[in-house]
Amino acid sequence: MRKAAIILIAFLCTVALLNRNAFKDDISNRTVVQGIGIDINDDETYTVTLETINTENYSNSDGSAKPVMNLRIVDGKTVSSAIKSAFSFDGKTPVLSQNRVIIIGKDLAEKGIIEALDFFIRDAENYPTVQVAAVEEKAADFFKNASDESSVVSRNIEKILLTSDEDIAVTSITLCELANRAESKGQAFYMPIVSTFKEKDKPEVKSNGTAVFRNGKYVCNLDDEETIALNFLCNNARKGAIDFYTDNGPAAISVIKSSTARSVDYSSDTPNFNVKIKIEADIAEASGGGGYNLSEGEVSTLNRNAEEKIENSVKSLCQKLYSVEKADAPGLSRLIYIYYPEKFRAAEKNLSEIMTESHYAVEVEMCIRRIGQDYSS
Amino acid sequence: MNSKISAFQFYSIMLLTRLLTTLTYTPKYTEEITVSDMILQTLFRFVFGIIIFIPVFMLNKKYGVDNQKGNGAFGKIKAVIFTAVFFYFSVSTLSRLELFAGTVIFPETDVKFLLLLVILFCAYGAYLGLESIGRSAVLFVTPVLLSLIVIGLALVKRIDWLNLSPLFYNGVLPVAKTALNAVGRTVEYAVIAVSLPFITGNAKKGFFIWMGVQTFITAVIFFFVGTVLGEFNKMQLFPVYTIASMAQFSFFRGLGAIITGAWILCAFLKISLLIFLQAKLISEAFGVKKITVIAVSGVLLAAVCLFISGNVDRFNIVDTSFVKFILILVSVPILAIAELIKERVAKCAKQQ
Amino acid sequence: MKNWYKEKVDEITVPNKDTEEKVPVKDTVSENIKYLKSKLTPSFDVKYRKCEVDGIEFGFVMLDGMCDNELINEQIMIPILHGNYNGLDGEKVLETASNIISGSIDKSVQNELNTSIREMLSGNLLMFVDGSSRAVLFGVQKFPKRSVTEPDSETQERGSKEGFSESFMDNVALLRRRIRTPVLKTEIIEVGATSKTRICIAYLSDRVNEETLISVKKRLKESNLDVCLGSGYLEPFLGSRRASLFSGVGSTERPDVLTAKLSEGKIGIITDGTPYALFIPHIFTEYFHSLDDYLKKPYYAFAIRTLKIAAFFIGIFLPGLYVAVCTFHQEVIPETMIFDICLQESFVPLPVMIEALIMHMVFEIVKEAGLRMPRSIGNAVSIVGALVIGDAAVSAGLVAAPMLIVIGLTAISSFVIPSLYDASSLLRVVLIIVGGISGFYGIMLVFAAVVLNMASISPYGVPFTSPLSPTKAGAWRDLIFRADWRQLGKKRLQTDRLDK
Repeated sequence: MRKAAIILIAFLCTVALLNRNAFKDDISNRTVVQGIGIDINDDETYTVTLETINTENYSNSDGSAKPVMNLRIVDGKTVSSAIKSAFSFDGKTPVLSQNRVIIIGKDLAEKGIIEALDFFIRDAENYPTVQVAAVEEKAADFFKNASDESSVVSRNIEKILLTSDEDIAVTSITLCELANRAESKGQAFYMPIVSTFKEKDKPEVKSNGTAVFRNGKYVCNLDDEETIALNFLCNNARKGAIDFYTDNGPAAISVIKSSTARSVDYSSDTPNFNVKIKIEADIAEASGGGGYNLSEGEVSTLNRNAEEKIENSVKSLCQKLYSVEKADAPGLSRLIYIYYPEKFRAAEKNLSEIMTESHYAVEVEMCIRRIGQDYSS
Repeated sequence: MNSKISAFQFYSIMLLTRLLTTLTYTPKYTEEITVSDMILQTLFRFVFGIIIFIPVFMLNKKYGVDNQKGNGAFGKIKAVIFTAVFFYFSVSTLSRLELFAGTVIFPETDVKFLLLLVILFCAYGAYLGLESIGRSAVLFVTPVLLSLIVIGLALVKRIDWLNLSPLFYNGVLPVAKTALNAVGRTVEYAVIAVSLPFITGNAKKGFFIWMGVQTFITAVIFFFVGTVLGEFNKMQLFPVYTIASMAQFSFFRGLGAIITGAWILCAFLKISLLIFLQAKLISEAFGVKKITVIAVSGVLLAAVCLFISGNVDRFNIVDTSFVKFILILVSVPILAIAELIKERVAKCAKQQ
Repeated sequence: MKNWYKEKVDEITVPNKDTEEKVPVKDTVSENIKYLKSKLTPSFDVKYRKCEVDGIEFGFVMLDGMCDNELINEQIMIPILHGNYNGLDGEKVLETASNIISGSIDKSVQNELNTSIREMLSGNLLMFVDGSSRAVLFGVQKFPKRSVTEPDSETQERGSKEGFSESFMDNVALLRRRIRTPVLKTEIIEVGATSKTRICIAYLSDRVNEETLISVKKRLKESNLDVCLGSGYLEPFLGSRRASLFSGVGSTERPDVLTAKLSEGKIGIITDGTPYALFIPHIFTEYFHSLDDYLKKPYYAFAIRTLKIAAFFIGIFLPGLYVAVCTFHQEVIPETMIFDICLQESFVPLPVMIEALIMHMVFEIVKEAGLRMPRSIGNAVSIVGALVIGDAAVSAGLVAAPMLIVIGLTAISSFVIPSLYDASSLLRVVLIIVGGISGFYGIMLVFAAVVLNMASISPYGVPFTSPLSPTKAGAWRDLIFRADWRQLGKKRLQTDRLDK
């Protein structure tokens, strides 16, 4: 066996050294990409911004590995050729598997993103779980404004977007979900918008509403309130605070748990969508202040006010998306496909009209509890 | 090489090799059907699989499993047909492995060397014999299934029930057609038909258990592919790898590497077994040394795979479901029916 | 090519053969001593003595340094010299002289001179008497030997502190002390055309597999060795003939472990001059068992065994996986680690695979040096290894710190099961290379081939991978988890039932 093993080792060594591909992909010959921004130019070429780890200026004087980031801005006729040309910076090929986020520039969003994302869907090194977000400027400018030498912008964005489970005012979408929705019957989707701001002269990033797309093109923005409604409508709302007004002034509830049941039925040929939202929440802030104990009547009023607020926002969102923008971003048409396939088949060609004519009934059942008193029991 | 293996060991090999086919399925096989139909067609496969195997069971019931041993002209023809089938499927499996390696593991890299490495190792596996392959399969089954369970658990939170579709949205026919294509890609039927004499224990009961288990696992895998990826699965070359790469456990991400491992273990066993069976059949029918057949088969495999390597058109020819279906149909039910007729004619002649 | 190599080997070697002919003992002392001298001269340590009592000549031959001189003087020479042999012929004198020696001294009568010489060379006193064509051997051995000490390689927390030593009889005695039953059989076979090394085959006759026993004896007899200086010489003859990293022959330094193996129906092989006993058949899962597992609570044993399995896999796979991950599969590196790895590796001038191979080689060199050199300078090597090669290499940018951690962890893990060190060391190198040229793909391929190779070994009909495969669920009560002694003690394992 030893003889066989030695022969095998010798064979492998020879192959390893002679193989022209050997060591090409070694981590020391590659640059790790953490974020990608895509813009489209007037001449239909793409500008791709890569946020990469800079290994050249790295110093480790305090013994800790502190990342230093680089921005590589490259142009190409396609996204693929632009990314490949990033090689020319320092001879290192980009590692795309560690990419955390794809940032879509405003121009590209308006012209349509599907073609630009084709590379990411096709290329095996890209992960389908990468987050996709839009910005209201050029992606390259966004990265420039958001970058400082010691922080990883893309990683911060990813962290913010992943808080969508904790914060109902934040939406998130992965490349896989985006492609799935873009290809599905409704052909509309949404993605979070991120923006920069300065905090003590240090650039920071934040989530700033949601962008809605139809047929791959940007159609409208949703503000924070509409984003919350969208999360409720899509059964994505988990936790977070909601502000609303009562007769006494502003108040806030903190959502602990929420679930949305969506269903569809038909009266004649018009679909009726029923959205039932169940929420369990704490009172985060009651109007009047002072931290006094609320009476049952006051709690009930707050409850009603909050229910009304959510109901109205969801209804107005449906109105906006289906009647005005004709974008089925929440994917309600999928319910017709699943439960009424024959009707869906018939309506497939004029789905947006059908969705505009549809009725949207929203029912919110909120269970508010004060700390120490569980009204749900 | 003449030793027998237990039904458990044998069906462990079969489970892993069948799993390989499921793990490496590409959406082109299921493009005509919707997500829910993709899950449903596994039941159709189960039924079709049993139907095409009925003649083999009848043959074995009437004349015993030892009738399979290649004697006379019919035995020689049978050996040649099965050898051709196994060779074809070896080429197909290797080409698919190369496609996977060249697309997913080493994009933009020439993987011909790796192909040769696999053939070398598989020829060694075939040389070690059925007993070793069977024992290894039992050792591999648990980690492979565990890794699938781990990936499944990690994917639970990504399931989106709205990705399911109405049943038979495009009709029953496409579902049946997809299931028949899948039957054609199941070389295990031919392997079982030819290996029955080498199995101890209840091979028939084992067959049904194997059918049930592999149908269940396939259905679960398709369920995850459908509900996690939705329409995205049709844009992926290897959807199972895609969902595995989406799985994440704590800070462990990229569990696709686990699938790569499982995939290679299964491929290794499958190709080793197919080469072994070629050697076994040819050596018994023509009296050639097994080691010679293994060497020749290895060299031929290398030559054919290198010819196909990197050429999508050639790959598509090898990967045609219709050709595979015909091969399985000829080697499993038709050969068994022919043998039944032959035995009956011989019996009648003897009586007269 | 093969013939050319054979010729080259033949040029410098001679075949081993036993040239010893049978020479009967002569009936005169001087003739016998003359023959012995012709065979043994020059050998300054062979002492010849002649003396005459009642007109009858006695001849004594012994090996100085191998015999107990005091015992010879007081218990043999004095009684023989004071004996009364008047009127007796040579044969009667021999009988009388041997009978008056204390019964506590071993005596044996020999008719053949070469056998007598061999026994004398083992430390026996050889006595000839004029007129007798027989010789008497007295067991008066007293040669320098190491006392029974704690085994170096199989230290146990709660187990016995006794280990086998180089003394053949002591080793057999250590075994006997633990199994006081007549079914413990100890047969002796000589191996080595020149060395004539004594080999003890120990087994329990009520449970040993007869076929295995016959096969073992046959293989030992057919072992065409010239000298046998350790149990390792015998392993290839007893183990699997198939090319493999594993042989199916186990070895132990502990008499209690060998006793346990014998109780399962295995066969023990004790080689004269070696503190390591062999046992067969040996299966893979036994590598992960130690005596301590049976002396502690079952759940603790389970934890330790799990740890050992993990260490075994770390010891083999970690460097290869690290190389594969850094070369091909960067996506699996957790995001917090990728910065460090990427930054550190970018300063190293070598590709990760070459770096790993060099570090592995450096570790092996340090290990070999530490093993072979005088203990007094062992500390110096540790300092050089740890500080110079470790810390300084990282500071100088020759090695990345993560690589150093990987190699360090691998090295420590590989010592958790010392008996698997050789196999794991070889596999590690293969996996580093394969990981560097083909990533997980190659690693899994090699892993599959090794498992298949292991599965192909069946030492004496017992599959090496049993009871995992072929699955013997009954044996799982003592596999990773160990059942409580109340259950385990009821029935013992019979090794040959682990067959296919």
